[in-house]
This record gives sequence, structure tokens and C-alpha cells, in this order.
Amino acid sequence: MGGVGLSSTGGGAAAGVPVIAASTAVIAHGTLAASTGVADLLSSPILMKGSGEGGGDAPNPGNIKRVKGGRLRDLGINAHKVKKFLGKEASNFDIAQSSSGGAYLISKDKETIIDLEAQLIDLAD
Amino acid sequence: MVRQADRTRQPIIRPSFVISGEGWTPDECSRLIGIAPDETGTRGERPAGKGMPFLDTRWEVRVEQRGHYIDGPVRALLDRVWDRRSEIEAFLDQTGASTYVYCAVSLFGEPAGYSLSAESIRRLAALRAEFSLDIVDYSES
Repeated sequence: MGGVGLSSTGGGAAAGVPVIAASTAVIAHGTLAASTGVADLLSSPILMKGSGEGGGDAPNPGNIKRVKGGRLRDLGINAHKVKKFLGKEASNFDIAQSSSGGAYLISKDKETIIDLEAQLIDLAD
Repeated sequence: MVRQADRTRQPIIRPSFVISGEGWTPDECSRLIGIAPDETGTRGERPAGKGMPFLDTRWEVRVEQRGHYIDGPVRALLDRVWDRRSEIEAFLDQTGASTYVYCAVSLFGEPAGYSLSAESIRRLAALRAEFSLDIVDYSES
């Protein structure tokens, strides 16, 4: 199906939905409600950029690039639908892709990254 | 007259009025407000059992139109709930829920206008609704 394209070049889809916070400020101050909400709901690891603290294979936000709308169209991905679970925070996120092909939601300020992986397949048109 | 070929290039404007919170059910919200929702979600549950779980419990009505200006669809959306604003306000006071209008705009080659009329803004304020605009340009390459 078309929607698998974003992650098809990656190393396989993970079962979980990691939430990656690029800085402690986002979580500590709760300036982006969605980030804490996702982590709370999914008991997902909060991965810190660069430090390796709880990080595992956290991608560097610098290696994640926003997917332009034309590519979303070609892949048959409805961006609004994919972001819908975020509620009113949805407009603060874009769909992005890492150099290894993984699919993410990334906040406009790149402070918060949500790993979509297999979920993207479910939510694509 | 707009040719079909041109119409497919027009933006799709899809605003939703959402009551959001937790500690209540969408059915309770529907009953107290007296409007049937277009979609509901419960915090932590996955839509249709898959995908991302909802971050909040939500009750939603929406409108979808093709056109170039967001104010028309937003007004049409607000018209759907305006007569029940007293009930909505009572529900918000009772549950601590909040409201927002999320306006999704999909572009396919033709531009959209993003201004809201004073009346729309007045109604948004009366409904205590935050306004969020989310634009995806599918013609962008």
C-alpha cells in the first residue's frame, strides 16, 4: 500500500511509539502538552538528544527532514489524518523522515519528535 | 462556472469544533449538548483499535468544503453548534473541558485565504474556542 513508503527503507518497524524530546525543557515545563501526553499514554521512553540518556537509537533531529506535501501526496499520506490524535497540537507538528527512512512527527521547533513507524501504515489513506 | 479539472485544484477546508478533556464520556457530552457528533474519541483508546491513541477525550463536529477562503467553512461549522452554546457552556463549566476549532487546509495548487470575519471570531470567543490552523500543501515539491 502506498502509505508504507516512508518507512520501507528503514530497518524494520518497531512495535512501540517512542517519543523523543530534544530538550528537557519541553517535558519539564510542559510547554507542549502533546509530548507529555503521548509519553504518559504509551509509557514510551523519553529520549534525550545526544546524551544517550535513555536514548538508545534516538535519531538526531538534525538528520530528520520535513516531508514536503508533494511527496506526501505521492505516497498517499493524509497528513491531517496522521496527526489527528494530537488534537489541537496537530498544527504544531509536521511529518518528517530520517536519513534511514524512519517516519516521524516533528514539532515546528524540532524540540519534540514522535516515532511513527508502523502506526503510519495504519493511518495512511 | 468552475470546470471539474479546476475544482480539484481548489483547497479542501476541513474545520472541526472539538470539546476536549477527560473524566467524561462522549455519550454524556452528546446527551447534555443535544447534538450528535461526527466523531468521538476517548483518551488512551486507539481509533478503530489501531494507530495512535487519543491524547484526550474528545467530541467533535466538522465541516468539509472545497473553496478558497476559510471563513465560510468555519462559519458553517459554528452554525452547527451556535444554537446550543448555552448547553456547551454548561458542559464546560460542569466538566472542566475545553473547546477548540482545528481548521485543516489541504492545498492542491490553488491558494487559500486565511482571514476570519469579526462574527466568526466573536462566536469562537463565545464558545471559548481556541483556533488552530493547519496547512498542508500537497502541491509543494
